[in-house]
Amino acid sequence: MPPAALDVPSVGDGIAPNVEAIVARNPDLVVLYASTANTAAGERLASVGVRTMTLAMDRLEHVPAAAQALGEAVGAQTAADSLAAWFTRGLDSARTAPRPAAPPRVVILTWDRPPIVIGGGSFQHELLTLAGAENVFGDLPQPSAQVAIETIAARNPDLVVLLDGDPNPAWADRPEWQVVPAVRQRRFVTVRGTEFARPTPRALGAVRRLRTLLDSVAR
Amino acid sequence: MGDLIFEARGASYRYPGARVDALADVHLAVPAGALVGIVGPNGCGKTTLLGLLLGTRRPTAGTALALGRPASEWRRRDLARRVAVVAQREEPTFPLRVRDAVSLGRYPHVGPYRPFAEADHAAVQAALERADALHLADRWTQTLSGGEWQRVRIARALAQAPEVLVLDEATANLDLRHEMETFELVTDLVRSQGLTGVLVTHHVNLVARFVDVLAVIDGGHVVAAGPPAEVLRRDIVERVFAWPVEITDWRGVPQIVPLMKRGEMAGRAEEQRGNAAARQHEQGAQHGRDGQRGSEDQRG
Amino acid sequence: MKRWPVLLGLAVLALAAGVAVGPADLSLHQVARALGGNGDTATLAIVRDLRLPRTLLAFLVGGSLAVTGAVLQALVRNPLADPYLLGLSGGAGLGAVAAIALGVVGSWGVPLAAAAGALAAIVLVYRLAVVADAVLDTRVLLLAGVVVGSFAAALVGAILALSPAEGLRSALLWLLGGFDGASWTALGIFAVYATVPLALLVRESRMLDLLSLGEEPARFLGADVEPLKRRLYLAASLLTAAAVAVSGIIGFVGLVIPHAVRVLWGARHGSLLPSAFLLGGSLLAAADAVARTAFAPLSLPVGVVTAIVGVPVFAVLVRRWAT
Repeated sequence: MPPAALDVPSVGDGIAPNVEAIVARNPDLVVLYASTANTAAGERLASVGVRTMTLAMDRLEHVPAAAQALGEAVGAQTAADSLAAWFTRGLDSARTAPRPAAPPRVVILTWDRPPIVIGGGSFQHELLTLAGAENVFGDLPQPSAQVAIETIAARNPDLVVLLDGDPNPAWADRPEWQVVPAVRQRRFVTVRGTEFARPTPRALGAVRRLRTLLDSVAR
Repeated sequence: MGDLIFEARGASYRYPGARVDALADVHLAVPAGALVGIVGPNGCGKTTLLGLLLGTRRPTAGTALALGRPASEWRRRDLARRVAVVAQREEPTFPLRVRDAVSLGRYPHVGPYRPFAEADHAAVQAALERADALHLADRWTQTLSGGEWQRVRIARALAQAPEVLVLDEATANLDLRHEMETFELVTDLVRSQGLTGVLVTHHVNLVARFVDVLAVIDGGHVVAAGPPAEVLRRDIVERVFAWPVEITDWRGVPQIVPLMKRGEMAGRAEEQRGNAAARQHEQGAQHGRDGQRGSEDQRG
Repeated sequence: MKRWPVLLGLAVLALAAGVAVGPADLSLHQVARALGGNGDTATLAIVRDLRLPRTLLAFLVGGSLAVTGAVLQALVRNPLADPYLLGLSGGAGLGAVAAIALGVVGSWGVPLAAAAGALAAIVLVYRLAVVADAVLDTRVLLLAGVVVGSFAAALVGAILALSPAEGLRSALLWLLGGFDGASWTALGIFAVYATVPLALLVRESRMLDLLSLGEEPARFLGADVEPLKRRLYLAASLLTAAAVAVSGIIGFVGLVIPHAVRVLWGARHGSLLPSAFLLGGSLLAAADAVARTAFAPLSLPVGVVTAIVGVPVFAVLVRRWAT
């Protein structure tokens, strides 16, 4: 997180926030994540006269749109436009960057029991693809999905990307996981940081870091 | 004098938290081979007394013996091989075939593991026949009428091949025919096979015609015990049941005829009203102390 | 209906289906060869190290849950009783979530914490239900189970709301139950452990027949009711806690299978318990096969499948029984 963000007091979760705590700080503008769980909070804030806006932040393409919407809302269009343009350019150049002849086949695993993997509907799938890898579960439309270990074993990824930053997770010792060769041989790529947890302008940096990591594993 | 099957010697029982005894200083003896009736109004302590004699309650004072031993010290399985009880009420949680329900009566004999032998199956069959329940053998218990279910439980008790048969209000749901048949069956078993029978019932007139000894319980005491002809006296019955009666005679057995307070009370109205009021007052005081009252009331 | 051929046939079918099908696209021929030790490494691993232990574990857990449900229904004389009713699911959930929130590590950390939570709930419920003179009041037992379960669920809610730990919501997925943790190791541990309480419960079959009549009639037919109730409660609870540790919480099997067997073949426990074991095992093994295959590559929580398959069947049986 940027240091400036750490100085901002917390008023609770991003989903189903504590409306009273927000109103007590008398904000000029409340930005809500676009989720049905936030609809009630948005309505209540609006009903007490607090200005609110909702932003969808699920895919990388949402980042420039959100920047522009925010810029407009706070009167910083110029900065917002330039950020959006920079991000879109960066995204395009990542898309057109040369891809390896045989991109590594990767699974992003977010939970072990039950196994939960990242599917094609997630921005993390986009990060992976932009970094020049192939998500073995990219065919799933869901952002994330519960699958069986057998499915992972059958799709036989070259690498496992772990998002919680633990390079030696305890579950990897369990016997049932040894059936997946990438787990048995500990071919893990571990990343950490909020840029891998939500789509932000720093996603471009995340793509670069991921690419470097994948390259180093592939030697 | 023969052995005693049950004996209460100065037995008292007080329910946890109660302030008075539900049973106080009860003396009662049930000799082997006898048919004994226990009668009394609702909440008098009949069920509590039975609990002491059958060892499910431990007397708070005095002793209650079953087959010569403190009743609560019997291993349940050993006692169940010798004493069968048909309780007032029992709802099966899950349906059983009638034959299976009756075969539970063999469990005290076969124990937890021994497979049923030919003799066990034969005992079940004989019990079904004796209790007039053979035609029900393949029915599910939950499809039986109240009277049929009662007969199945009597059959189960017979399958226990007991020395002692205790019926606790077991005929309350039966029609006249099956009630008489049950009493005759028990009497027959006592007279011809040397069993001992204990019948707890409200139906004083019926039971008086069968039993050797009638014990009248009231207010936690045995107020009279002996042959029905000695016990069913007008003064005792009126005091215990708080209702005016006449005693008539049917072939040497006293029978109670409850009087209607209108028109049949010539010459004794004053006396009776006073008595009744006193009794009702006394009964009211019992409500609080006898934990069995609720169930007896519902049946009443 | 002939009971044992039907039940054994179902068991064989369910076990065969569990090994034969799965998200990995293997032909029956490949599976059969892999069982005989032939085939490529990946196929061998999938069939012998994933499908086989997983299906067997599902069968054992399903059988154990069905037996436990039958016993608890007789113990509390309530047809709605199921293995998790007595506060176990709440305790297990609290154990699992607390372990994740506190960062407990080790490949068995979360399952063991869940089992510990279930055991704590068992002890607490038992203490609450023992009234004067060490009498276990089964009505209080039911109430105490519900109360302890609700209290634990409230604590789980508080931890979820307040803890910054990542992955807590996924812990709840774990609780929904499944056999993704199945391995020969897990199967071996569960099989050895479960044998003891299962044997204890089956030993009491005839006493359970008596207890189903009510405590008073059971006494008059020779049951030592108080020690019996304690043994049954502890064996059933310990078995359920082990099932929670290997597979989370799988509803429906323990509630419905005993009733289905009673409707079809009667309530005598000597045959009810083995029948429930076979039928519960078959249902759960087959349900797990469906859960990982029906929408492959996606997996369903196995409890969803048991309910979708079992509820309509149960409804038909209950109707037949009522008429």
